[in-house]
Amino acid sequence: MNPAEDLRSEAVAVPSAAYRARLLAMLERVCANCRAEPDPVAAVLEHLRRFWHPWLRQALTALDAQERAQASETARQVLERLDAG
Amino acid sequence: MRLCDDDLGTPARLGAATVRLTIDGRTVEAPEGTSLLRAAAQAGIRIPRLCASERLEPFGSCRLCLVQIEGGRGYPASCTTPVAEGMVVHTHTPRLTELRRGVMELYLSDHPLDCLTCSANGDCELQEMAALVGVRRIRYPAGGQKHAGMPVDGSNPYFAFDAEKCIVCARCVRACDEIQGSFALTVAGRGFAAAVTAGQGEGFLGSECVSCGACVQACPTAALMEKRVIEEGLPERAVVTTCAYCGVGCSFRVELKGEVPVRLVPDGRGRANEGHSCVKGRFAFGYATHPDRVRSPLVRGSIDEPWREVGWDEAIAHVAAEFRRIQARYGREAIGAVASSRCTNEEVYLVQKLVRAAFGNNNVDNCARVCHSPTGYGLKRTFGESAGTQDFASVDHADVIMVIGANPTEAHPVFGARLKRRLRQGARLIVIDPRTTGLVHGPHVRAEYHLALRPGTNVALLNAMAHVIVTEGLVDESFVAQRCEADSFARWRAFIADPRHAPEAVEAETGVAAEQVRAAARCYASADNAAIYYGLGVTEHSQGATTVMAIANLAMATGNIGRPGVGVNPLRGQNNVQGACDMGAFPHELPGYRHVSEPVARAAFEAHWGVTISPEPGLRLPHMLAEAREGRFKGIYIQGEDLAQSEPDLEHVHAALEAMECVVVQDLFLNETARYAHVFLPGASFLEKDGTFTNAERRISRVRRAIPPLAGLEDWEITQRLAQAMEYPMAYSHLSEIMDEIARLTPQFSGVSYTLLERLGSVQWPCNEEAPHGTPLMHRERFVRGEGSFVLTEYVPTSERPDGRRELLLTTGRVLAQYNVGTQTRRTANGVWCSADVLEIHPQDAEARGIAEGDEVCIESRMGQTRLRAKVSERVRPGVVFTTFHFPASKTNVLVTDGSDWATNCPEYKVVAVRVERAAGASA
Amino acid sequence: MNPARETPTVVYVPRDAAALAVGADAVAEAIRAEAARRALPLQLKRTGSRGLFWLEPLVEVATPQGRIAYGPVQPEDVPGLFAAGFLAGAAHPLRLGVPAALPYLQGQDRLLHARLGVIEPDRVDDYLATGGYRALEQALALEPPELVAQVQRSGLRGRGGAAFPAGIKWDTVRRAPGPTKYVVCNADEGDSGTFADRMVLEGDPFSLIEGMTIAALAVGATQGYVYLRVEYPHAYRTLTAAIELARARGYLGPDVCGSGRAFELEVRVGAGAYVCGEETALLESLEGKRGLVRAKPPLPALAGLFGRPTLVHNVLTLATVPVILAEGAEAYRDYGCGNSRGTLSLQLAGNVRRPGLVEKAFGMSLGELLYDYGGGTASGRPIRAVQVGGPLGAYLSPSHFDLPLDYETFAAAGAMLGHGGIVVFDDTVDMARMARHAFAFCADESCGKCTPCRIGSVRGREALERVLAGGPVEAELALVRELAATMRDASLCALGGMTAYPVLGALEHFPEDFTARARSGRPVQG
Repeated sequence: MNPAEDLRSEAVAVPSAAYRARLLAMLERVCANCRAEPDPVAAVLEHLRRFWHPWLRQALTALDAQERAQASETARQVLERLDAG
Repeated sequence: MRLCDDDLGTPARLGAATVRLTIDGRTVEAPEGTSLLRAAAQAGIRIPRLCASERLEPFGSCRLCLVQIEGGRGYPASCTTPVAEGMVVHTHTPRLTELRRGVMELYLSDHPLDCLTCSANGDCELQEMAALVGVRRIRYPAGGQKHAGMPVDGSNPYFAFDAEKCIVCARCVRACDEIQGSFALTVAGRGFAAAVTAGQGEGFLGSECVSCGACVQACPTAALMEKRVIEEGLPERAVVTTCAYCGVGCSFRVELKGEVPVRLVPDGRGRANEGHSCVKGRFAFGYATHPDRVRSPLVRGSIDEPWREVGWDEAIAHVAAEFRRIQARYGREAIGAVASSRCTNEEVYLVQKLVRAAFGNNNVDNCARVCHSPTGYGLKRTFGESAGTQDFASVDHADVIMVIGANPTEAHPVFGARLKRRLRQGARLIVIDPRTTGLVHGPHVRAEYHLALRPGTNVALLNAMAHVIVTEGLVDESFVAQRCEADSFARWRAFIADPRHAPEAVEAETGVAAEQVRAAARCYASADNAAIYYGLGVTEHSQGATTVMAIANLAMATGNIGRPGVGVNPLRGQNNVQGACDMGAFPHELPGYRHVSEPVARAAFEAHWGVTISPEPGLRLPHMLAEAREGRFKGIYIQGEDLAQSEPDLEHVHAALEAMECVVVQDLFLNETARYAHVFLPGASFLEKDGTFTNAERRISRVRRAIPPLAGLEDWEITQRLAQAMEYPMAYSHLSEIMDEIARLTPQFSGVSYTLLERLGSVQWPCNEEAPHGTPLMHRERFVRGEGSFVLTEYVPTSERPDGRRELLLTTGRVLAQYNVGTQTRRTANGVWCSADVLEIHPQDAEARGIAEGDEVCIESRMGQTRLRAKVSERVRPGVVFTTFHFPASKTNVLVTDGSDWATNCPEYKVVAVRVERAAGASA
Repeated sequence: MNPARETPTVVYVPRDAAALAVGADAVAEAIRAEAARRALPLQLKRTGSRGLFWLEPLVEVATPQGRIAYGPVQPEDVPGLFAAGFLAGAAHPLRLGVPAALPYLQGQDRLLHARLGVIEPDRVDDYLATGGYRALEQALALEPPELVAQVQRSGLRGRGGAAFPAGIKWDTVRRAPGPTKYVVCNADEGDSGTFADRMVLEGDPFSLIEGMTIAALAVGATQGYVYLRVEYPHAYRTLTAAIELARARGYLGPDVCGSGRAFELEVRVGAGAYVCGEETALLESLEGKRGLVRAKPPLPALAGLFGRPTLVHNVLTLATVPVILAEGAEAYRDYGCGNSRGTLSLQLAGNVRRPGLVEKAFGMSLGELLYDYGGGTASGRPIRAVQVGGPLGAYLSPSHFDLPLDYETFAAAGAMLGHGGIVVFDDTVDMARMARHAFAFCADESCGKCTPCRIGSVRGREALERVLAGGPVEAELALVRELAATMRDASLCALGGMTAYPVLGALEHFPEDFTARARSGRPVQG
């Protein structure tokens, strides 16, 4: 089994709205706590890469436009970078 | 023969000069200030004594240790006479023999002399000294005044005080004063009427006694004796092991008759506790043999069904089949494990190995997630190592001690006693805590500054202290220049100097007067040696990791790192939570805190284990639960952790557990989580296993099996069998082989082995080629990461704030007699001190709500509600309420929200906005 | 004649507790009333006592010939005294003449006690007018080492009982490192038949305050404490008032006499335990703990009150310091003999005709004191025993009456001068009971810390009770002798250690009282 392969093989539906909201709130807290960093977006992305299971990052990419509209500027940029892979 | 013959009589003195003298014709050398008694003992000369002990300051009351000094007058007591250059001392002369017999005859004239039926028979210093002195008759006739017939005080559940056997040596009183610092005992009355008295005569249970056992330990006769020894007789054999309660990691001698533990006695050679103990470790071990212990594996098809007892083979095969089935259907990531920080290093190592090698993912976590994960994160980023910087002994050198969000006298009692001892010697104390803890106003202990901040504002407060240090010229510039990163410091200095961090600017937010903050900051920064000790009041917040880094910044900026008396010291909660983290029971880190994305580290394990390790972080415990509710995470192996009581947002936890297809619980008891389990694997208590624990000072100590496992297997054997059943080969025949593997694969542990531990007793990691005997103090010459890194600590207020409906902030903590969720301590007699969680509420808040002492109150957060009895107390400030979480019935964690530390997801246990009202139907 | 313009006559009536006990207040009131009745201008001054207790209340009148004493005066004597013209010093059966010419006082060397009965204790100006604070003035001009040297040269030894050379103690405290040091005055005068400390406190408190201030300057202390026994309420009032006055006049406080040096003084009252007169138990008690004896070392001079270097002295020792400074160390040293220099405050009590205070240079014989000053027993029967040095002093028999009163001679005789208390017994005394009493006293007053004292005192008392009850004597006495020696050699402090003195003294010098035969024929004292 290729671990990376296996991660994508999950055949479960889109994360629930409640879960997506919770993850976005978590993301916002990371953003807030990195806002004094020289490059906040990079700092947040690095944090997600080091500490968040891929499923959580995947779930963030499932946020819809309406949900994203409520996100902070930093969070939006982070989401864009996650979308880009 | 008594077991404490190695007691040298008086404490060591570290005089600079060495003195040469002659004792009984032998030339003896001793440091200046050493007593003659100790100098003689070190030379193998035993002078009779009864009131002296090396753990107590000399007292000079028993008058047995008299000696003669050439050219000197009289017969000075050797315990109170220091050595002097050229002194010629005789310890045995005809006159000394007469005097000792005369004194011993007096002792015996007021003693029951029922030696053969006495509970201390064979373990009595009076008996031994009488033999040594050679008393052959007692000429004082019966009928004289005696203490015979005085009532026995049996109020303490674990020991009894029998005054007629007391020789009034005051060792118990001095132990209570000098070691524990409770000052609960006195000698009341004068002359012949002098008698050891607890409190003002209330008896032990009613007094200030905290039942630490120091008095029992100190007693030379049967006056203070464990009830179990009175009932069972003296133990036959002893096994030295390490306590399984808190992170102090006390060394104990388990004393047994056959397979029955009779008593646990603190081991004087244990360097974490140096012969001291607390009510839990010393006495509350009865849970280990409690009838509730499960002795056979249990299986059931669904959680509505009753349990079915099965054999080990069937249980293990069932779990393996279920996990493989789940992975086949839902994918490799659909299962995970929680390692127990109550288990040994070797057992934790095996669980994470099981996950990484047999499960094939990184979904492993441990209870540090809910306690000190922010410590690991914060100290790694700033200093380069995820652990405290000092050994416990370091506190003896501190001049200023800052205790932040910790209550060591309740939660880390043996270290708390040591800290109080240092305070009584004159160290100054700063306490940062919303609550007036025992340290703030204790017997002979007082906090010079108590910054009673609003819960949740730690970062604002510590930033304000740093602001004072930076703007008032209190930075240790040379330390920073030599030891820290120039650029991160420059950035931090500019950041923290901003007026928005000034104490005046944050006063409204923290609720602490700016002048107090300034004074405390100056006090900390200007001390010769200032040490910080902190607990879960730092970590269990939405900015837990930030707070840890703010603490590290303070210590670096003031140069308080790298020598005795300073440092940043997390007081870790569980006996082996440090070890569980060290052993890689984290989803993002391999053993030794190496990130799973590091190819070199991964390669070493892959080569040794013969598997491929995922470079991506696994699921953290809260995310396992969240993903379970999302339907992606289906099976969990939970070793010794009661998620269903200890986690926050309990309703969510229960739903998550219910959503899984295979929940495996391995524990001593059918705990709350077992309600949701499909398989229950009965584990072994610390008395039933070998291995090692690592305490809060990074000290690795041996755990030794005293009795066989009640259910047949030690926990590591269960994990090994599970791995085998899942077709991953594991074949350790002894724990030492696991430690050898850890040493081979983990740089910080490369020098550790069971042979070394047997030789040294214990060792503090890093233990490797550079430090073959371990590392008591870290970051001495340089930081582990090279240069210390200052991290910007922006204050981000928690979203959990009081509002119109929920006007109060609930914060949680512990009490001395109970331990965490109480699984163990509730099954002991410790309930006499604390039998229920209560809600502490300030008199103002109580009055405003019509709440009186003892009323049942309803507490409601945005997550749920529960009921507790109210305790009206000024220990909490207005606007704050406090409770503990030791009893499942309290459902305290139902209230705790899903808020968590931004960096580590450590839950925000310490801040919950609540509404409190007198419960409907509560009696007036 | 206009009474308002006439100078009032000054009459002195003591307010010392010993005088009050025999009605001094009533006498003072009677004098005031009688003067008022006769419309005579009169100023009443209340002084300490000169220490001639059998003459108390001793009333003095200021006359052009000097002060004339009358005594002992009772209220009913007052009209007669007025009638006789005592305000002018006229003759009366109670007239004693010029006090200083009384033989009892004439032979004394009143250095330390010169102001007793003379001045009003609560008047700084009286103190100044009689040479007070001259010593402090000199001391402020001296460096601490020179101050200490003066005390060393004077030969002063501790007057509380142990007789340790004061200068050595001062030097130890002075040299001890540390920013905080204390001077502590032991005013827990607990020995039976002693009262010299009390008389100083009640009659001349400034001498103690001045002595402590000088001591503080010498050793580098800025805080002093007087540990006063609770049984001395008059002394407490007088001393605390004097401290207030001294502070108001700048003799105490942050800037002593404008020198820029600080010394504060507080009075702490004990709780009635004899053992708190032992210096380490006293320090424990001052710290707010139980009065438990501490093992030495460490010496209080190095680690005393709150663990700081502490100079602990008895009242008499400290009050002697101004005398030494004012008169000169050599002048003080000229008094006395051998290694016992200066004067000793002897306190005569018990069955004695003329009880009171006798300040004499060391070297007078015990017999001189007992007969020339004491005048023999009050009962008129022969003196059989005297106890010197408090309740734990040795019992001496007439065979010892030639012994000169000095530290070394007494020590060589198995006795000690202690605090200078002398209790006299006539030939009706039962020395076996006295020996039992010594154990009983030790048992009552033991702090209970060390075993020989705590248990030994009770066992000794019990053994002698068996003897008194007519039990077998030889074995019990052998046991008692051995026990007393064990207590002497093994006890932690002098309380248990010195109980041996009266016991062994009684056994040695009065063996006949312990045998059943001798006991049966002897009258028993109550």
